[in-house]
Amino acid sequence: MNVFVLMLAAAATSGLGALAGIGGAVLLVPFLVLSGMPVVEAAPLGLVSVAALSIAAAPTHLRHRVVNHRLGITTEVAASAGAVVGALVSDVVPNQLLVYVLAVSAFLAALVGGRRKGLRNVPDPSLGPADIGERIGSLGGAYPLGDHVVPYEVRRLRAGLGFMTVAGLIAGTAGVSGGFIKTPATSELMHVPTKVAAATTTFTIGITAAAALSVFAVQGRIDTRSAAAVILGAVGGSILGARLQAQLDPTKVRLGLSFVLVVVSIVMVVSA
Amino acid sequence: MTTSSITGRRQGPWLRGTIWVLTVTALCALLVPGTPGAIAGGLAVTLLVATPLLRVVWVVIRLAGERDGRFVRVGLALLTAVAIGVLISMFLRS
Repeated sequence: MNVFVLMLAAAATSGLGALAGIGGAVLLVPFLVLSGMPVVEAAPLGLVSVAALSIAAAPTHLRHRVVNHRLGITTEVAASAGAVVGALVSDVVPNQLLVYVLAVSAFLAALVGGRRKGLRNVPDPSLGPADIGERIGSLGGAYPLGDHVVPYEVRRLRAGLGFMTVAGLIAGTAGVSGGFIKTPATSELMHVPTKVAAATTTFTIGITAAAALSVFAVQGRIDTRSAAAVILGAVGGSILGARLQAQLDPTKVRLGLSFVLVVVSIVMVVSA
Repeated sequence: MTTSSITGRRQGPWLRGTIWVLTVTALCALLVPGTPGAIAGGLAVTLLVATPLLRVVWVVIRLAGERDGRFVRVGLALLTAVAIGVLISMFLRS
């Protein structure tokens, strides 16, 4: 594929992914596969866009103090192990099966994007700005919400780790970030506030991508020229998408993107 | 429980610098022909893979500074999992 078409595709999908908060690889990889690229070649490029998005979004999330590093590295042990196993077996798994994995991933992302819940944790008036952040020796913490401080505790860690392993396996085999599994699992299952869950997921998807890309690099499956095009597109697209996100109605954007993802998953299953 | 001093804010300038270096090296990989372009592409990919892992190393160092031994072990387990994956893929390739 022409590198400039690849760069534009990475920019458009990362921009849309950043708008909806699900990352761009779940759109980029199906686009590449439907353009005729085998999944084993498209998957590393998808993970390149994931890692670029994770780095590009990090300064904003860190400024807002909503990343929980202790929770991130804990869940990432399971996700990275899954990603490494997925990457190791992905070149022996039949292309058709990977297309199905990708189609199911896109469909799951559509479902999750279409139905996201509101606030569960409530502000604690006894807490002040000094209490914002992670707690030493614990997975819990507190985050800022307007002028208030909201404490939270992490529940169902074992079940959460199970979902993270699945997310890592999908990332390693199909090249999508798995963020559409990680964020809802962290938020809905483990009861972490959505803002913290989304920011921590953005931190961890970069690690998952790096773990799988390390394996792909050893396997000689990363075309550096194509990767450079994806990096340029993904960095530009995700920064622009994040800026636009503040100006558009996030519910409408997520619903629109969910519709696109359903169409993509159907087209992929039919083409496979 | 005490609130941790780990906010990640100090990573901000480093990550913004990384984004610029990534952009420049990726541009060079696309625009410069021959070996220099290929080297720039390799640098961009290496930086892209190394940055998230270096963030984990940074977190582990900060956790050690707070004497949070439980999470230091978790961080080291994470880095070990990635290293084992690379070693297995090297073994399978050879």
